[in-house]
Amino acid sequence: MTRPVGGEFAGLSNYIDLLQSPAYQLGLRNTVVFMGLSVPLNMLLSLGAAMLIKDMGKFKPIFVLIFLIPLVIPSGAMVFFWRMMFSRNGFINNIFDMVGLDGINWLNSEYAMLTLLIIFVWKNLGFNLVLFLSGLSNIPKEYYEAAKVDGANALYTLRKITFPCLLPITVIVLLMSVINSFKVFREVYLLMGSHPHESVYMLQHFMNNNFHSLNYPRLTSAATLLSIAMVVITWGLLWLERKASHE
Amino acid sequence: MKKFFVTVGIAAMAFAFTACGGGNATNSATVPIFAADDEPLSGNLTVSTFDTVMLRPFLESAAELFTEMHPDVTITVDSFSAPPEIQTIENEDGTTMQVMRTSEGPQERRDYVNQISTDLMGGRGPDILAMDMLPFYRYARMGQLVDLRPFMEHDPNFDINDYRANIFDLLTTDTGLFKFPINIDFQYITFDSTLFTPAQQNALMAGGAFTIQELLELGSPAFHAANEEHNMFSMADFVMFRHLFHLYQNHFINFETRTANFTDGVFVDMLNMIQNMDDQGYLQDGTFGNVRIGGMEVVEMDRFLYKFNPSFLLFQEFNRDDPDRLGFFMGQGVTDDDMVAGLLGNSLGDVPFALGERGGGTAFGINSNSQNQALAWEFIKFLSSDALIDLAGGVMGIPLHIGAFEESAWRNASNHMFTPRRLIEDSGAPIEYLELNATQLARKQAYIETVDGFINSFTTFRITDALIEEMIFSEIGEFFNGEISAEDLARNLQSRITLVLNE
Repeated sequence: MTRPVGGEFAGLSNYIDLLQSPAYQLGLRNTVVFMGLSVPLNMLLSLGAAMLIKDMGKFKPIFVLIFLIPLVIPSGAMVFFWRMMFSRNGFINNIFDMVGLDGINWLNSEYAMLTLLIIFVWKNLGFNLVLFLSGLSNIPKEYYEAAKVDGANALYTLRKITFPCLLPITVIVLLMSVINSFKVFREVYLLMGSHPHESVYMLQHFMNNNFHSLNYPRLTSAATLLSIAMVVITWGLLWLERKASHE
Repeated sequence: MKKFFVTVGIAAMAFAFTACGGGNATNSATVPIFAADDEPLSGNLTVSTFDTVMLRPFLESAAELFTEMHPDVTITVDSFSAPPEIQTIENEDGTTMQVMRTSEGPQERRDYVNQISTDLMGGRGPDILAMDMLPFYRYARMGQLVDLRPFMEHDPNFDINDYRANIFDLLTTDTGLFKFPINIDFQYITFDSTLFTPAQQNALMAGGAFTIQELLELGSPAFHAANEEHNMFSMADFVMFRHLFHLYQNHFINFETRTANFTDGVFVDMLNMIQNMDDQGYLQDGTFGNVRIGGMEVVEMDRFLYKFNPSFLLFQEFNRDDPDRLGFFMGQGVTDDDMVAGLLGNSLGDVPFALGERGGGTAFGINSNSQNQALAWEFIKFLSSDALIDLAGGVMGIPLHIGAFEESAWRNASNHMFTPRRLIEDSGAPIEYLELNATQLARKQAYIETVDGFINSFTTFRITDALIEEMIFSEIGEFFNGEISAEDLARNLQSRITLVLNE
């Protein structure tokens, strides 16, 4: 990897160099692992919360509001709160200490991924919940009444009515969750810095740090590959959404 | 139309999938230099430094002298750090003192590096970069700095024998020499002669470099013999860590192969040794560099077996009996009986030095985007020459130009540290005023021999990376606070620094 400005034609060497970079491989692996964990977890929890809230009558708006609060709090302000919670002498470790457990290095050990998942779910649950609530409210009540008359139990109703009818909105939620999972970098960066524990080093860290270390060829190669991956994922999900809508 | 968009799309993809690389920044066959002494110099130069307090005034004065000699040249000096504030504070006894406060912090330094980096990557940037803060090895790796070897080899007016050639050799890597050193700073060790037996003193004055283990072996009996009434070192645990880390840095981090080596036991042994030194009472709580005004008298009367001193104090070791000498108080206790031991080395046989990038000393590099590389080289040569030793900014480090060093030794010996010889000559002062007497000559000679010995002792150059240092020094507190074991810290640093090196 040499001079990017005023240099010579490099062909595909920047991409080969990128794919052989251990830091890129680590960032890619962590990003995929985080996406694989955070997206299903967030979708399951928000769907569960939506199904619990939807029949709460007059309390429903209050619960929706509570879940939406994290969306409107700036990340920068929340970082202080999370640091207070998860630092070595933070609130959680103090509780551990009170019950006789050893404290955990939440921000600089393998537990950092768990910390990140908690923050991600806290931040994005409300948004998905609203989407699922709108999807649930669009399912005609007659379907459930007919299923009840036919003697269908709750699990059967869920499998045969709720899930199929929610499929279009589920694809949208999936798409938004994937996009939001990429945006978690902001919190990680503010909380753990430019070089966090290796378990939470994301692709965005790699690109951000390469910008600062002047490695523009590597940065632009990584950005190009990421853009292509995002286009393919989005195109695939939109195709799935179209297919689900037609069915 | 659909075919058209597909074709354009494929072309765009193909374009995105390929990119630019580059060749060497300087081709030795076409090195741009002004060949003849009488060839008139012309052109515009920009010089950038972070430091507004010391380096900027030095560069401005140098630019003024240079443009006087070459009227067709213009030089613009830029600096980034905020100017210092002068504040008057009142002591407990009602007296007042003036304190200079600088507001520079890590963020300001990062902003400067970002600004210069962005300029360089955009094909712009200043012609000459002072390497006081910039990550020179990253720039060199990316081809943003000119290899200076071809200039040194092809310039008929440059002779490496006028300089400390071993420092240039140690700075040169397989890919070139990317910063030109002007002066150097280092730490040397002194010992309080009243606290050691004559045999121990002889061992300490045998010359060369000492490992911390050797100092402890010689110092422990003296420390315990005095019932621990005196102090071993004048620094706290984290300062000792900083010293030892720098000594072993080239063992822990290899910037060329991009590998880290914190887990082979050396780092853990080092941390445990510092912890043990602290347990034994060999270390202090924040004295050196962290002196409280109220505590000054106490520290001033204390005796320390060993002191680590900055090189600009070195001449003080030879003129203690001179009533006119300039004295510097460093908060390291009684210095009247101090004697020079040597440099600090590591147990692997290395005696490293740093240069610029906050490692002390001054060095300059030439931007490979510069259209005025020949002029930039001329100005850098001028900056390193004995013509500039008159400028106050040039006297703090030890000049690497031998003539400039001789001149600085004369200034120290004659107590004219801050008065340019030219001004003294112009004032019509008697010649005796400029000539050294026998005592002064002896002091000067002893100083020169000591510096020669020190500079010839260096075996390796230590790269300073602000990001890595920040990472290590922010984590080390957890070890000294007992929050993390030495082994866990070593593992953490191994993984994080490997990551940084491989990005």
